[in-house]
Amino acid sequence: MHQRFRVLGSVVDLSGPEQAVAPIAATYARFATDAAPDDAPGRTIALDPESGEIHTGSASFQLLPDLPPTLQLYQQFLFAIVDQVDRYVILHAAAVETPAGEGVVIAAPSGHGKSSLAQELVRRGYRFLSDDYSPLDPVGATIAPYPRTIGVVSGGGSAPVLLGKAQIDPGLIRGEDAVACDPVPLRHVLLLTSAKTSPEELQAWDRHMDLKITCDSRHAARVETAFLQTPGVTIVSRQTAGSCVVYRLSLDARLHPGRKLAPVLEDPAMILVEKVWGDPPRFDATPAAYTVPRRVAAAVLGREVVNRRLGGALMKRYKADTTLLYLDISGALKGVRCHQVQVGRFDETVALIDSLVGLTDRV
Amino acid sequence: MPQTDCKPVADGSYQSRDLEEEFLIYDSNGDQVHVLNGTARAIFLLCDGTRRPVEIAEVIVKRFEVEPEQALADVNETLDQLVEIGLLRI
Repeated sequence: MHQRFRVLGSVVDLSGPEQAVAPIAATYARFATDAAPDDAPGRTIALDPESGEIHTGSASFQLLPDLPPTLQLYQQFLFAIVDQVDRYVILHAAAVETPAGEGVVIAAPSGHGKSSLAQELVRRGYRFLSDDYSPLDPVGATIAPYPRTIGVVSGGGSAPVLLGKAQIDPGLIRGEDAVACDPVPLRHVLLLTSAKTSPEELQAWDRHMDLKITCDSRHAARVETAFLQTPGVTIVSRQTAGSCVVYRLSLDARLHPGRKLAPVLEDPAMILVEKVWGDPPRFDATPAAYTVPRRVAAAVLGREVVNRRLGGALMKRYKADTTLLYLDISGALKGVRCHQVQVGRFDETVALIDSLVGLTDRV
Repeated sequence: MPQTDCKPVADGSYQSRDLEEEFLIYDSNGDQVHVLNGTARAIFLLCDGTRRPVEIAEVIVKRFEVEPEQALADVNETLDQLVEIGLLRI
C-alpha cells in the first residue's frame, strides 16, 4: 500500500504492507494527497516486509521484533513530517477554537485526558483544531489546524484503530463545521496536571524535569554511558522490557543538561522520549485552576515542542539555540491567558475549562 | 548609583520579548534569560537614551503612585543592577 501525505507543507510518501500502513493512513486521512507535478521532493518512508527494515531515504532501521511494526513505521512517519517543518512550532498538545474564534491550547502528558477533553469541548460547540500536535505560528501568534483524528481509548465504535486507540474524526461525527479550517489567534493556554502538582511545583519545572526514555536494548550500554556522563542527569530507574530498556531520568536544569543530552535523545536507538509531569491524575478528584505566568507557560510548552530535534528544519532556523525558540514561544503568549488546570472528575473538569475559556463568549 | 545627568539606554544587541507583566531579555553570552518584573520592566522600557534617572522616576511616580523619593531610589537601584549585568549603557 502506498499513500502520499502533505502536512504543514511537508510531503511524505508512506508505503508498506496494508496492515501496517492502513491505520496510519486512516489517522492522517485529511492530509492524504495525490502526487502533484509541482510538489517539492518529499521524504519516503517505506517498510520492506521481506527484509524487516524501514527505509527513510537517509537511513534504514531493522524492526524490533516485539514492537508492532505500525508503531515503528508511525514513529518514522512522524519524524519525517516534523523534521521538515520550520514555520510552525509544533506543540504536543490538543487545541480547540471557542465559539468566539479564540484558540485554546491544551497541553498535558499522555494519560491526562486531553483527547477526551478536546472531544467533549467539540461536542459542546467548540471547533476541533488538533488532538496531539498543535502547530503554533510564533510570528502571528496563531494556532493552525492539524486535523489528525482524535485517538480515544474506548467508545470508538467502528472507527479505525491505531496503537490501541480508536481514531475518531470529529468532522464525520459532528459535521464539517466542527473542524476548523483556518488558523486562529492563540488566546488561552491550559496546562493539565494532576491534583498533586501544586502551582509552586509547576513553576519549578524550569529548574527540574523528569524524562521517561525507551530505547533499543541493543544500544542501551552506549546510551546509558552518555546519560552518566552528562552533568545534571540522574538515572532514577532502569527496566528491561523485551527488546527495549526503559529509563527514568531526572534532569537538573541548573546544570543545563539539555544541550548535551539533545543529540543523545535523537539517537536512532531512541524509541520514545516522554516528559513526566508529576504523578498521573486521579479522575475522582475535584478539579482546580490557577493562573500561570506566561514565561512559565512558555517554558512548559517549550519542552513539549515536537519538532525541536537538532537535525530538523525548525532548529536549523533557530541555529540550534533552544532559548531563542523559548523566546519566540514567550512572545506568542503576549496577551494570552495561561492557566494550570488540575484535572479531576471529568464533567467538572470540562465545566471548569469552559468557564476559563468560554465565558467571554456568552457575556 | 548612576550619574544624575546620565541618560541610560538599552543595549540593543540582546534578544527580548515583552510579555506585558514581565520582560524577558536573552543574554546569549551568559546563556541566561533575565526576567524583569513590573517596576523593573517599566524602568527598563523608559531607558531610551533621552531620559535622566530623575525623569524616569517622575514617570514611575505617576504610573505606580509612589513617593518621589522612593521612586528615585528604586530607579537608581534598578539602573545600577541593569548596568551591572550589561543590559543598559550609560
